[in-house]
Amino acid sequence: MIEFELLNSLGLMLLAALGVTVTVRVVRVPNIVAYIGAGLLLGPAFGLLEVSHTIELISEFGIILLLFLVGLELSLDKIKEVGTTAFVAGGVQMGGTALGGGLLAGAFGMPVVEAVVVAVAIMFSSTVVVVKMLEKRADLDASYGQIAVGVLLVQDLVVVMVLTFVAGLAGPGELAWADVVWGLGQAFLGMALLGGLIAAAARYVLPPAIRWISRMPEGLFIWSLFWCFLVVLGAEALHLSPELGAFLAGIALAQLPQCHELRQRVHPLMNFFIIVFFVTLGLQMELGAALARWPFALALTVFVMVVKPLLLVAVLPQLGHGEETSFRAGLSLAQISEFSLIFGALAVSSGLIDEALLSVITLVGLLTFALSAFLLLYSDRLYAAVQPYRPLAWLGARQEAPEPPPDGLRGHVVVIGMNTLGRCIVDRLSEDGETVVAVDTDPEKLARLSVRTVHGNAIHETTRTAADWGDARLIVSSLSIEGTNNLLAYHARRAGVPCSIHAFDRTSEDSLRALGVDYLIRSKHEGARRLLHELESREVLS
Amino acid sequence: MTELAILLGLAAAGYGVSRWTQFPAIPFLLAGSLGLSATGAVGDPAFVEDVLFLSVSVLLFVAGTDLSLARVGPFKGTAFLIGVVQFVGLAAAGLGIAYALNYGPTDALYLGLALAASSTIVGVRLLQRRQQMFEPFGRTVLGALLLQDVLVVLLLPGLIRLPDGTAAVVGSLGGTIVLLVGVGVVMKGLVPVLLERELDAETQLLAVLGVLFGFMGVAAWLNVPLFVAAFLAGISLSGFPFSGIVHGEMQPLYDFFSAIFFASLGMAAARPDPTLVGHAALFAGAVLVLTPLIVAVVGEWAGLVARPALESGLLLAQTSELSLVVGLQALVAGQIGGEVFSVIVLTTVFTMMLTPLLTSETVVWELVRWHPSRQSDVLSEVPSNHVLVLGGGRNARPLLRLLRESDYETVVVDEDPTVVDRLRDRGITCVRGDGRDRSVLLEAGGAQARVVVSLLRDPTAVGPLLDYVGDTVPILVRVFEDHEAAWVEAQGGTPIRFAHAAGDAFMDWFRQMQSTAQNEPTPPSP
Repeated sequence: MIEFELLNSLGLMLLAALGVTVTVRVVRVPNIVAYIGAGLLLGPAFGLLEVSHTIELISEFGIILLLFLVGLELSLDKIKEVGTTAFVAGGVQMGGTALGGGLLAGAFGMPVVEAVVVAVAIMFSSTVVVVKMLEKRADLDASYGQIAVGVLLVQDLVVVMVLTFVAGLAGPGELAWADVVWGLGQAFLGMALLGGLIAAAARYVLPPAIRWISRMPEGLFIWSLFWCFLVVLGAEALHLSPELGAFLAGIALAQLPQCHELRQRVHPLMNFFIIVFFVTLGLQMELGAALARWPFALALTVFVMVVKPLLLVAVLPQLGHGEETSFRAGLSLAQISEFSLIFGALAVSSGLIDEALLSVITLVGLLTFALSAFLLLYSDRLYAAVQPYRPLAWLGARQEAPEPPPDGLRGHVVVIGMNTLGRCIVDRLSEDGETVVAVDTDPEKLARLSVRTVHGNAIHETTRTAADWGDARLIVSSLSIEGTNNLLAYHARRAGVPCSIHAFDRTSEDSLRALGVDYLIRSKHEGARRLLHELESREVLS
Repeated sequence: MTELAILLGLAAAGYGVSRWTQFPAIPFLLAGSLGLSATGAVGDPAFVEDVLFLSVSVLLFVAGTDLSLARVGPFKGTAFLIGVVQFVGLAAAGLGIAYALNYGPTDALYLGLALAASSTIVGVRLLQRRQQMFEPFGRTVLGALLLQDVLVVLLLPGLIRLPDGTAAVVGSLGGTIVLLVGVGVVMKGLVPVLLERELDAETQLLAVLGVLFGFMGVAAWLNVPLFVAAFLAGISLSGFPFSGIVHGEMQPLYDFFSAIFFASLGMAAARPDPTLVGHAALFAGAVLVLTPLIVAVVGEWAGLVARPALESGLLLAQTSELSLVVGLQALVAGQIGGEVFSVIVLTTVFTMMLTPLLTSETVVWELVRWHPSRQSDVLSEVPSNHVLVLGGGRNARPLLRLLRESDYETVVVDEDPTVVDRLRDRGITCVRGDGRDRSVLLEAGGAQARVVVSLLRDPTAVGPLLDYVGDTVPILVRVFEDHEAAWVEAQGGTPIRFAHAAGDAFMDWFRQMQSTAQNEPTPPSP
């Protein structure tokens, strides 16, 4: 279609993803399922596309950005909060899943080696699917979301060990123990070294460097991405997973005041690359041989979707977590991982399993990705349906108090832009006893204010939501940026909230009037009036 | 992954140097990529090609979504005139110089086109930094830049098919017209649907990218250059409010891909030798000299006053990022060689590096002094007991109108010869000169004035006068920022706080709105 191969491939992938997303939208299918479906259509179904090196790179970049974003969401306090839970619950779940999976495979008559491969393959859950769905639901901050992410990161550490172990396999059934021990030692040393370097950078290098470059927004963005890549390359050099590196790079930046701005910038870029990742995932699935072994595939899918969540649901109450948190965290991890497919492929190349079993694992992956995306999307409704029966009460899970209503404001005034005019308006409104929310992209400007503040760009929905935009009595913009002011006027009108916008010249006055702004703040006009008044008081003008 | 990290590292270094020097980042990125090319650190040409084509497509697409004539306001006529005359003049100059340097006709055509347009990225960045984006001349410059972007992109389909004969050119232009129809269809048909659906950010991004790749697919089928399609796809989404809504999603993509594009572009060019550097310096010299000259003359003729006309010319005195895209497209099509592309890249580096220097206050002021004024600058006698106004431009108009009815004589000090000429034509006494210069202020009777009013952009400009007569003559200074007001007060002047005046007027309206019964209509805006 297009003369350049990459553009051709990307075009097909994105158009197919769009087509499938729009088609299945009526039945409320999660986007990631649509993307994988698009990949299946382009690859296994019609053979329209093959995955090139650059497409693989883009996919990998998508995962890195996703984990970088997760890191950016986490403060050190949050990590301390979920650390123990993640290690204990993750360990129990992985161990239990592997044991049960191995027994199930044995029950279907598989030899021990194949059963072990199946057991290992299904004990991991998909970081990408879970984080993407949590992020879509804005639940990365929720307790259950943080536990799920914590468990996934513990699994990432185990992945490194498993890969080291597989690399130590000299051939079918032969194990070079010395290589395995050396590899594991390297991994742990590498982890300690990388963690130490990142901690030192986060303490001494990043704060001044990021503060210096943050006056240049695009510079801040590129520096942060470069930092992420530096850590990813460092992780790879130390034989750790790039995902882990990206996550740690994100955590190091999450402690800085600029992290909010960074999250808003990284998010769209991640969306672009991660779409390609999911379509590629579908493209690469080989399902043909799995159909002959469908009973085992079906049993394994049911096991992953039922037993795996139950293990987490059972252990979390023992660690002090409530019913809803335990239930929803368990539900989040009801799938295998994309790593399972990689591990399966490695097992094939090592001669441990045959292609047919790899197809089964792939089919289980496809089914559990798709079904767990639904479970994650509708987990609150599922919990509401089972909650009256208190199914976790017998495990000692305490009933959690219902979520308090969000401490949203009502009847307040939102003032955007803390320049001199904005600060003046905030001060005057506060003096009059009004509740004011001040919004600005510069955290230093907000730090000096005594009213409630929201850091971010008001053209982003997340920032407007944080300022309780829809329940405000008045929106005020003191900015001197025409496009932003027009857009804020548009959003205020859509929300049915009156607005007052800074009209800094005649041209902007005209466009704001056309947008139905309730009051134009005409700084030049009012200033000129004050000047004339001053001249009148000095009897220069009558 | 390592190669991408190297490109990001180069981009990070470029932005760092840009932040440190306050110069635009693009020339540093380009220079860095030429250096990187020499080291061979990114050795995979297929990877570089992939990165370049993807990033330039996204870059042009996002540039298209930003193309809004509403931003030019009522200055479209002036902008059109300046944009077209500069474009034609510089293209002709480029063509002439290229012929003189023995380049072939095709090379000369591309070099001419590369010189014709100015950089929207650099122009907008400088206007933003100097807070002149929404001043009349800022809007005029923006209009000229947008027009030139469109001209370059619309000329590209014809030019790129020129070696294939007239039929191919007509076919390519016909394809472009079909794409333009598509622009209308998306604007009127698809965008309202997307607005109505209120899609989540991810699906919206997918839809927007679908438009981009849809246009590129059709362009491939119609044999129209893909970069043209990417730009037109962007234009199809440029209407308000959709462009603003997607801007938040698209800006990070733009920032990322433009950094990668400029950081990798030099790798497509031939290694520059002294001859190529010399040629580029010659082309850059033509841009730096001819652009301010042409724009200043045309701008003043079209109604701009002298200083803004000159500043417009200086702001436009560089080649465009689209010149690089044109060069890249021609390189890919095999119409020019790596050497010609190197000349285009180097010319862009030179001119973009020099623009911030050219537009510095010192250079502008020195050049304004060379402007031929129609009338004599000398006052017959030093005025006294008068109102001295520093700054006679647009902001002073209402005040000067009222002061004509005052009992006191008004004397205006302004550095702009056109402003001074126009005020003198209206019978206002003027002194042409820098309001910061004590001798000029004394010539205008600053020591004997009844009151001095400063409307200058920089409030500290009245420092010398405050030092000299601050105790005896009341000096009113227009200020926007609190720290400026504090400075003026400390020097003995009277700050007129425009922001506070606006804040007080807002509070009057707000209190009135509060006291009005809920069912009654909101008081109208002034």
